[in-house]
Amino acid sequence: MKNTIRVERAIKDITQAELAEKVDVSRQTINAIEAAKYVPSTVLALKIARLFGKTVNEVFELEEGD
Amino acid sequence: MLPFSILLLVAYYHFDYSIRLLKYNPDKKGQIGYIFTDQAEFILSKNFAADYTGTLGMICTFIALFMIAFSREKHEDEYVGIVRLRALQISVYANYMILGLTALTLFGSSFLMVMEINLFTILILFILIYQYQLHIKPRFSKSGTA
Repeated sequence: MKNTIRVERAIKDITQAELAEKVDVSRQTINAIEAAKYVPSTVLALKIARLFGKTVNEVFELEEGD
Repeated sequence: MLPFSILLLVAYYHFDYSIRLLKYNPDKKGQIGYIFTDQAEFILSKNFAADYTGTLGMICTFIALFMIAFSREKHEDEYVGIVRLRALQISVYANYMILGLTALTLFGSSFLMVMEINLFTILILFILIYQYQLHIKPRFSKSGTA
């Protein structure tokens, strides 16, 4: 699964730690999601998308093989 | 976490102490392992000190390792939970692989020593894998900087 968290973060100009704090997870979690090492739960995906003012589909998208 | 690490060191000191005691008083049964030998000595000579160093050391080590292994992270979330479960799974697999290899290579009384060390290997492997996955590995990844 691909995601545009890094891009969205750059647009909003916030760090991984700040994003992590806003969605109430650890910085390692955001780091792992950005590195595509971890697929977040639906709740966390919705929270992240809401923070960026977008839908989940805009932030996360399926890729080949998923 | 630091006080427990110190406790762990103390526990290991007790282990050394117990083993050293054995070396000074070699048992007739040979190198069976200090737990069994200690118990034998306890029955034969009522040597309380020799009996309890091993026991105390083992219990302290267990408690310290458990505290280190299963203490909560500062920020406990879903990812941490998954990393923890995965690390536990890998450590159990690795433990049985080590056990299998040593079962093939070591025989008789020396295998008992392996069994003793094996009591702690799951926890030690778990701590190593878990800490590596959660704290060390992200530093080497491209997105490691916050």
